[in-house]
Amino acid sequence: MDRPPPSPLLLMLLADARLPTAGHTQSAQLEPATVWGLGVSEVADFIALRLRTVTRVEAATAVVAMHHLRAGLDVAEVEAAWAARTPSPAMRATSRQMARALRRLVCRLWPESPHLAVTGPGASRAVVLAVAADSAGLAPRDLAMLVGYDDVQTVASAALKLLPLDPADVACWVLDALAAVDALATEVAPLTLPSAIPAAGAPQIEAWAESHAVTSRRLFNA
Amino acid sequence: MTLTITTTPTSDAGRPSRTQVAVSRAAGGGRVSVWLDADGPADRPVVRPVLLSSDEHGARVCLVPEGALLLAGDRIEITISVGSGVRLELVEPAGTVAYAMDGDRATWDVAIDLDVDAAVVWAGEPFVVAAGADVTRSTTVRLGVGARAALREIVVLGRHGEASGRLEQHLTATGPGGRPVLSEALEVGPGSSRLLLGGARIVGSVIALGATLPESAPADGTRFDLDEGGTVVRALGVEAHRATLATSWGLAREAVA
Repeated sequence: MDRPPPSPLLLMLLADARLPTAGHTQSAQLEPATVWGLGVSEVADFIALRLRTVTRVEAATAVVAMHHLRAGLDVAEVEAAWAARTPSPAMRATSRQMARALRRLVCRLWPESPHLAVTGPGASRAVVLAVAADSAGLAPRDLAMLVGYDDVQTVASAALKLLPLDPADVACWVLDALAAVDALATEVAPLTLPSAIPAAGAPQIEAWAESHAVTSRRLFNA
Repeated sequence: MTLTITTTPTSDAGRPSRTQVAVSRAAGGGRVSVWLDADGPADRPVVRPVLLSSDEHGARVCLVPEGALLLAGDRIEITISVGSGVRLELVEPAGTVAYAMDGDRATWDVAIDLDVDAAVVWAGEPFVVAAGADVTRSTTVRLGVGARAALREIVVLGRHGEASGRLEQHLTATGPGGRPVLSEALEVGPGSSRLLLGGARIVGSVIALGATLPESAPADGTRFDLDEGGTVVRALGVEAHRATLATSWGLAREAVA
């Protein structure tokens, strides 16, 4: 068998928004935030807040899930810990919907993965990302960076559709956020226990997720 | 009825102030057994449990602060235990203010243990985090099979016209077998992002565990239904009376009855 591609290339592949995983349908709650009144000057703050709260939960969940998959432990415990830390049903539904698209892709990219069978259609996005990262041979820290980076880019690209912005300014915000992504990855990479997953909530972001789920006037699915 | 109240003032500073409330079915039937205890260092305040009423189904207990609460170095520990099939209602005579702590901090930890088919209703009054306060609060709820809890929590960040102190709080609820039901942490302080609470200074929450609010419940806040059953209703407000969630609280009380 040919040598598998090096993991940095596979990390780039998984972080690429051009993958058919419906990333363009997501604003990471930036759309309801702008409806509420979030202005151009607050987008960077929004990105930073997510990295400290909801995205931190998702990144830690993914890391702990990959540990469980690799150690042959029951990933259902990780799913339950994630669901308890994600009180918003709209955010859970979005995660599971994104997970289904990602899982279809993982089935094509790595059909030999032994973990596809244990992550069914109800899996969360963090857990399916863990399956993909395991197949790609990523380290826990890479997986956490992937989750953080993807969230930053999701907000950034949605911001360009929602607010009058110079794309280069938005790229600068992404660059500025990378230090926080790195810090997040360092914090969560060693985690192995579901109970150790942080539970940091963001009450207003959770409320925005719920209000957006029932509005008919929207550009983004969530 | 069995009622025991003890007080054990001691001088060994550094110990937490402990409050215990335990209710259970009386062995020979009749009114439930109630065990109430408050104990702590002599120079620290305690939260004293006072029995308001009891019958064969359960009890009502008021948690009365004795001494000034909540000041630098205070460590309040409240342990609630409700026996199988018993209902406990907890009330507070007034809200609590965490005052400026001059670089020190205080803790407020609550553990609620609910046996099979037990129920607790706790109407928390406002918890005010004054400027300069630094408080860590934790609430742990363990639900046995068929157990239910209705909790109301009103966090006020700063007294009127005042900036917020620092608050870190954790709520962890587990079901039978330790299965996670709800796990939430909130860290808020003077430097917090406006987007964390949308500019609100009051966070009102009604938390129903082991019971879900009716589908048709009117929304006085944002409703979050949990995967493991249970509902959180949350209001982020600028004025206290807008975040008390009176309607949802009434429904949560009924849902766990």
